[in-house]
Amino acid sequence: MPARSVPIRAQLMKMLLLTSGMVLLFTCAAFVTYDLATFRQSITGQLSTLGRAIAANSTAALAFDNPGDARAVLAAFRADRSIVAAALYDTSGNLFASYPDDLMPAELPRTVQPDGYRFEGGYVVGFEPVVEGDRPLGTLFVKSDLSVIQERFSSYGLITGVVIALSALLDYLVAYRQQSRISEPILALAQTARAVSDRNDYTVRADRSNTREIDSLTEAFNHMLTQIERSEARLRAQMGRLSLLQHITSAIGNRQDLPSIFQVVLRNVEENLPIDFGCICLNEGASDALTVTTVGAASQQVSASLGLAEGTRVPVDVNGLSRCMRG
Amino acid sequence: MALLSSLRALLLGAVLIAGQAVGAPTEYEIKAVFLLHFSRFVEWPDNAFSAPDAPFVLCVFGHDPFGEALDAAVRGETRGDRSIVARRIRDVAAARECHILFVHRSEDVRLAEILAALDHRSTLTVSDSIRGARRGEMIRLITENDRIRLRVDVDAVRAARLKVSSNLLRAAEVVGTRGS
Repeated sequence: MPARSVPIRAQLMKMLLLTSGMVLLFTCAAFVTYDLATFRQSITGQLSTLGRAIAANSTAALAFDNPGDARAVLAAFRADRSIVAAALYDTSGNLFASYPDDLMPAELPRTVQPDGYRFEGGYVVGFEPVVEGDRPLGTLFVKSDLSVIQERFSSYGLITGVVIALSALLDYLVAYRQQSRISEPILALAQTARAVSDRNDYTVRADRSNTREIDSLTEAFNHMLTQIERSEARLRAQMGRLSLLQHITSAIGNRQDLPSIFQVVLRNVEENLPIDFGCICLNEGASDALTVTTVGAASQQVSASLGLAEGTRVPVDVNGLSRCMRG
Repeated sequence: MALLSSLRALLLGAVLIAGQAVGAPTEYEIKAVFLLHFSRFVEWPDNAFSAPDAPFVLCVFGHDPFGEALDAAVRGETRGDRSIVARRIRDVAAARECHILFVHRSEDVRLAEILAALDHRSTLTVSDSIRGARRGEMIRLITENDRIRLRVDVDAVRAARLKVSSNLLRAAEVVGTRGS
């Protein structure tokens, strides 16, 4: 069973849109993946910078046992709303101060963990040493949610959606224009073929396009039409001759005399061939002349001006007729 | 009734002993560590040291409330390349060799004399006096609600050409004019 026939326009459009869509999707995916990878690094980098700054400001609070000052220092995290928890631990690992004020101690790590930042259950957590000179005074804990990443990816989603929508629209317009350069000559060729088959008119020709392969096809098609046209003309001529032969045969069959048969032949020739003058000459015996026996009905006037009235003898050597005589 | 009071006293004593047993630091153990920390949050001019390898000297004038605590706090500690040493002095003239000088509240009466002897030398003076608001010392250690607060007299600090870290100032109560 043959596959369902799909218009060439639709196929070309589908092909172009699919190609550009795939390219766009792949580009966006690559871009977002790269950004996600680098953004995770930059988030830990930023958090670590912030952590170091707060740790540097927390030294005196830890050194001089001032939790109020420590809370005030930690309150600076308020500027970054992705920081959901922060705490300072003393050198013994006891909780010294925490942020925000309403944070339950259970929400904080019970023990101080090794220094460094890592992703943990949808958060970035980090432990930063608080050091004055070379003397450790405690540890800063900081916990940031990934709302920044989520916000960034929401923005990406929106931007990607808009870009894809606009690109699809632009693609459609460009694809529509581009596909017509291929599909229209093919459709025009199909239309010409249909006109030929509908009207049996082999004189029409398909127009050239700007596409090399389609031009080759058009040329081949036009050449084929020319061949058919010539064959048609030859066929018609052949048919004419056959018809003449039929008339002659029928005249003979009707026992008509020779002048009548000549008249039938001349009439048919005059009617079917584009001639100005037609006559039948006989070559009697071994004479070197032809005798005009019958002049066609439509050739009477011309015969007078040519001096070729019935009964006129025309020498064979004159006008190269001897070549005709030899066949 | 007397038996009940005795029992209560016994219980209280037991709790206090238990408190000591878990190693909660005493007031002067904390103050000893604070004195050590001052060495890191205050900058001294170069001419405050007699030699490039001269030690950083932490002194206690007169009555010594620290005992072993101060020696334990400074043991093995350094300030840059300088070792930190603890000294007990009774002579006002000896105070000139100190970089940090602690004067216990029992020596209040001699505070003015000591400060005059120092004559704006680059010695960080610290007291835990409970008398008067400003008596000329640069840092006062004030005990309130079982916590030790700091009060820094920035005018006195500046007169001694010392620089106190802004971190320390934020953790302290500041008296005197700030800035230039």
